[in-house]
Amino acid sequence: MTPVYKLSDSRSLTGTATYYSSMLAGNAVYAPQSYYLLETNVLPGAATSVEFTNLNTYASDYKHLQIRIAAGAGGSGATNRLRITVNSSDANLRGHKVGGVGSGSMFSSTATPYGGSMVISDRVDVSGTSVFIIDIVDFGSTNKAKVFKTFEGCLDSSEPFVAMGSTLWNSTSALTNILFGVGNTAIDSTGFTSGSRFSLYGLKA
Amino acid sequence: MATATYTALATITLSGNSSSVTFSNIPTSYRDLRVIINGKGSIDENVTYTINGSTANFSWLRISGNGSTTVTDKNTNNTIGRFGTGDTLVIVDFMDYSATNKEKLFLIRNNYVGGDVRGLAAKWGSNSAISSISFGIRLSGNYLTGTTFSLYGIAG
Repeated sequence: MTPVYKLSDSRSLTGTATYYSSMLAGNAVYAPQSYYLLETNVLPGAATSVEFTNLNTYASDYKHLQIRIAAGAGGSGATNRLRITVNSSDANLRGHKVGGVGSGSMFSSTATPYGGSMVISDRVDVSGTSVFIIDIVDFGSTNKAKVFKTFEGCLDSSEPFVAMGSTLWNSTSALTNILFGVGNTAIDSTGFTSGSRFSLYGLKA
Repeated sequence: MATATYTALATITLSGNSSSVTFSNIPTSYRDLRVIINGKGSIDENVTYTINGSTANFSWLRISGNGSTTVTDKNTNNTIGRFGTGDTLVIVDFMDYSATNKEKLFLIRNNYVGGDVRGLAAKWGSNSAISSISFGIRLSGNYLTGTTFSLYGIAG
């Protein structure tokens, strides 16, 4: 079979061109991307909760998840805790946190579920925005528990807050959904303000 | 449909010492920005932030530890975090940087050898989209040759 030649420019085979036997020769190296925006939700109005569902459908393509949140809360004061459920339950959740409010001493705390959900942050700003970056490592694994790494901050003039946390979902089940809500002792009607943004990203291995 | 993101917008590697580095003409087509600074400084001092040419309207809050002491403090100036004479890594996440209806919050992880590890939350109190960011070192410090500054855009 006569081979197909890819010429470096438009000239005849009898010219002084460079000959390649592969159509791929000379092409730029293909560098596949590894960080993908999967879903984003910018609230068109106030909402009691925000949920990412069917997360298990991403497990075949992505190794880790990241959730970026910039949100405000209704209500006021220190009762606006960010709370989560995983797979529609508060079961098997535990958390640890170190943080500070800009005065006094740093604090460290633990979190356990109550009221049907678990606190993942102590402060969602009522007069502006709180920001959160949550990394879920190996979210699709069905032979290990899942760990969420959080980094958060709020510059509410009355209740500023910065913290780093770790949340364990002690289950080998597939992660299917995560729900975020606001409340002191349970997710209540406080909710998130219009314009709050929740973005989900997938990271390939 | 998944959208590939975390796009490298600019990388600056210093070929000589420099008192500041600026990312300008930042496109508004992303949701968040990430800046990664890795290198050394001529002195052990605070990082100064200038956004859209302004050093005003900043506030920040810190937690840090150096192996023997922990600190939490806050202030309303543009000297945020620390750059050291030892290897230093600073990762800054500007959230919703292109929004024109909210102030700009950013999270900073700040690690420097021989110093401490810090987590900071900061705010630039302007509703303007961020179009330029400059990083300096307080008290006339310099970023040393080889220090890298990388800017990434993240869709959202």
